[in-house]
Amino acid sequence: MMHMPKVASYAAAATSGVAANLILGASSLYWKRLAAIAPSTLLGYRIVVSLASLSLVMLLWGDSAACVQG
Amino acid sequence: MRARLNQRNVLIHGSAAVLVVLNWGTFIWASINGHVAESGLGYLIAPFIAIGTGAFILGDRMSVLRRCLLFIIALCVLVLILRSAELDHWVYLTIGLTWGSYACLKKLTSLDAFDGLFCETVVLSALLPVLLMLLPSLTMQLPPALPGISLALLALCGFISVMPLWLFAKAASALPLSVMGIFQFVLPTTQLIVALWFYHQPISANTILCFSAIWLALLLIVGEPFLHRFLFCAKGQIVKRFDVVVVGLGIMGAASLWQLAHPGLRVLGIEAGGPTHAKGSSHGGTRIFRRAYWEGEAYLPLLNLAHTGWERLQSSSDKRLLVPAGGVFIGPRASDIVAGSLRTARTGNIAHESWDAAELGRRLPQFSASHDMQAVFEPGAYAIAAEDARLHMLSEAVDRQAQLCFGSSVQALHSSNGGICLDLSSGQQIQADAVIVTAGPWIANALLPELRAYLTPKRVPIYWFAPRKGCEYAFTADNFPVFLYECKDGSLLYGIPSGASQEAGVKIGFHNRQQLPSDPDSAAPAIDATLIRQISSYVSAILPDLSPQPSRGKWCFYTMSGDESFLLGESQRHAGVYYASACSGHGFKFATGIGALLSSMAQKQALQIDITPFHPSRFGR
Repeated sequence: MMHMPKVASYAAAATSGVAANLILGASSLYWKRLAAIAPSTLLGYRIVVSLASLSLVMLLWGDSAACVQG
Repeated sequence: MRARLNQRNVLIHGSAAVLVVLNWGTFIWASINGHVAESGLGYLIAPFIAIGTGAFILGDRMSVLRRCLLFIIALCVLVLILRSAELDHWVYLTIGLTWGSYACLKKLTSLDAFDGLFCETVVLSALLPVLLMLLPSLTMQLPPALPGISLALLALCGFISVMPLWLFAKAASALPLSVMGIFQFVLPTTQLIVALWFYHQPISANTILCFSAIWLALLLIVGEPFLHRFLFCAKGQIVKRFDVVVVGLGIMGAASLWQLAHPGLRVLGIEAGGPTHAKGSSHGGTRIFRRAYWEGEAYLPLLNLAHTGWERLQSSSDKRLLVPAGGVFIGPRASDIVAGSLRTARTGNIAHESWDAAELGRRLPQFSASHDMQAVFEPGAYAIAAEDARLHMLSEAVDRQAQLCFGSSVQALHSSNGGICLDLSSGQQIQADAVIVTAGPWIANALLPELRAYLTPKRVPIYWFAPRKGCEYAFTADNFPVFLYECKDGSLLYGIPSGASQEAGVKIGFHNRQQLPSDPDSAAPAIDATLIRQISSYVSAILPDLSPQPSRGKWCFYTMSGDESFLLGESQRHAGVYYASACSGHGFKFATGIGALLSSMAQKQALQIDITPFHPSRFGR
């Protein structure tokens, strides 16, 4: 039997899953905006900035991120 | 996380880093140079690469339908290469191969998505300066007249990597795997729309045709279980109906089946492995039963229920299933082990003796303990011949007309026609009025994802130590009890005398050290030399008459909950599905009690004891 909060949490999870893929799919347009920079340079920045962002996220929400992962 | 960074994980994430850089680089190049249809196509074929790699390299089982679909996809890719001259073929091949292999590698690691990507970006950031030196064309220099908006956008590029990862993890924690599969369509489809709408990329009819064919093939793969259900369950072609089905025949499942089985009830037990497989938590020769439970008085009613069950089991067997060795719990005076055991023994009126270090030295000279240590002795504690007991339960259940099925896993549970439908990996379908799920570290994978947030499966080593020459008799169950020993640094060891089962030597392990979060489907690594050195140093300090080097070591699984207590209840998602999990390394002794409770739940009978202390609602989520 499904209760309302359950349906809402399902919908939230499904929206997250769709959003993750939508963002990735549309991210081509983002890189296109940065076409003035060489792709290899962009790659270099993506690595370094991702590391910085991940460190920040894991530092701030370390526990909650782990919680989401179960 | 440091504990999980063993050689194996470093190798996995080192390889994954190479895949990440190839994937990201190709994607950025394609986005800038207008080859977005190709990158979308790459993500569309990636699941097939993952399935193919899984089947050919990791030996995953594959249905005939999957084989056919895999062949069709390969054919489509061939047609694309031969007939779609407008495409840059290397783009989708690279993206498909890197993303598919990446997904495969991720199955092998024990790190979560965040820790994994963190490792990979660390590796790549460390390699970046080397590459910058080696390749003069590679530069981190930005063009001079870059507008501010571009700089601001560039600063957000970490967001593009982290945000989807976070969203995806959020979805994965709440949704079953079958639903997660549907998301695989969103990314390639979005890419195709972006290519046509924003890039006005010229795409031939051949490409659209192949894209659609692959899309449909993926739909069939994702929909295979649903299709199966539609064809069989919906038409009522259910292979068999049962009153109660028990999924997972470790000790909890075996005990449930043993309690349930009687000739008037149609009962089936399903186990994915063989009768004595050693991949989970219930294998091996012996376990401890004790009731002066330092973990708390809250366990007393369940312990008493379990004790009655074990005695009943023993009375039905000619084999020695319970080995009356007594139990001693040693630690510093104020430790949980000593104070907690005393408290529970007094509350529960359990026969016990309280010893100081001198008395311990007289009664059990095998132990080395400093003068400030204390001990609680429980004469009624015993060792359980674990595997014999479990097999005896199964055998008794079969005698009472239960059916057993080994080598078939339950892939999905769904409510149908007032009952529960189970899809087996063998292709069979089973309908049941009630289902008991006791699948240990696998419980939250496909069956009860609602429990995923509460559970962390961990690999834990167990060791066997041979007595030194001449000391053999000092460590048999006649002369040596089951024990817990809390050291001054908080390390807690447990042990079981030799001769309690066929296994040679005294079985010893850490209760609260050496726990490695692991995927139960990943291959067990060799036990690290540092772990062996660690246990050796403790054993030689507390039991000097044992050889300090273990004669043998083996992995076991602990399915841990946040408070190291159990999860017992009815599924919120499927009425009539009952579960027990999170034995957290101390559940075995409770099996006869938990089996009795699950059996009552499944038959809608009044419960023997109050189970609210073990309900997941205590976590307040």
